[in-house]
Amino acid sequence: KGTVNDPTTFPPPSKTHGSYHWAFERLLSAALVPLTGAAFVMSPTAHPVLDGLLGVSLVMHSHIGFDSILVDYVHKRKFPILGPLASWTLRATTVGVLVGVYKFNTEDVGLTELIAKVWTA
Amino acid sequence: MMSTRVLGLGPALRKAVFSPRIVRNQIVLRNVAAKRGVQTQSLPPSASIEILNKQRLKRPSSPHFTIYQPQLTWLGSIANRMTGAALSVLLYGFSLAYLISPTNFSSAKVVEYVKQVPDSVKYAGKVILAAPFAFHSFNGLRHLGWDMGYFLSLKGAYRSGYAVLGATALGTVALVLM
Repeated sequence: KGTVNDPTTFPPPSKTHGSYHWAFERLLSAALVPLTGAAFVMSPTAHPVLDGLLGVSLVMHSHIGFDSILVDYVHKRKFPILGPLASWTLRATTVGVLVGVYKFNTEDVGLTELIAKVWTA
Repeated sequence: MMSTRVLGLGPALRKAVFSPRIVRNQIVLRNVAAKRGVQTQSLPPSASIEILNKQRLKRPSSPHFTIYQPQLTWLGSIANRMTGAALSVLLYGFSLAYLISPTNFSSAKVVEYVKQVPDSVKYAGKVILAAPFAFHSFNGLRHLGWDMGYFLSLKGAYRSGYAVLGATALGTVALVLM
């Protein structure tokens, strides 16, 4: 991509990767506040849908957070192999975590119940 | 003796010309053999960029992260990132562990394990979990405030930062005692 004396390139402008992503991230973070509060106030086993929503929202929030860390420290512009590799590893891991959270919420007691029980053990 | 031009031996040999014949060979040997152990090579001009890039890779970078004065602004920011990452690693780790081996990580087993650890470990564990959660939550609210246009001045950033720290302390105490 040119010599080292050329200015850096910018990614092409795109609303999905730009302003929509930003807005989605903020909305998700804001929604986590009432979700967490509600999940811990109400009895978790009686509201599995709420538990599931919280689980998915937490995993998505974590994924966006990890993605920001990768973009900041292992950007593909500077790390042409490690950057994309790390991104795809993160995506695969998130898929696995979503499956695990679903399994835990359906076959076992669910995230809020687990935390409540561990906290008062 | 065309090689003298490439090797740069011209001045060395010229010095030997103006001395008496007996001494000449010794001077030549002394000047030539001692001076030129290095070979030079002829390169095209386009190779200069390659040499430049190779040299740039070897250059050290001046201290930045190690010398920046600790401030509430960036300490709070990196703390937000680290607490978020730690909590997420915990979430991801547990979920993947449950996916790989549901029997070993079932809720019953986990609660059982936590029950039998000594009380001090329980309290320490609660503090270690509650403090990052409280800090990340309150700092997250501060971030959302910034996104809506509040606390954007220096005073605002510092005031909200101290408020977050105070709320974290209170929140941690509240969570641990729950």
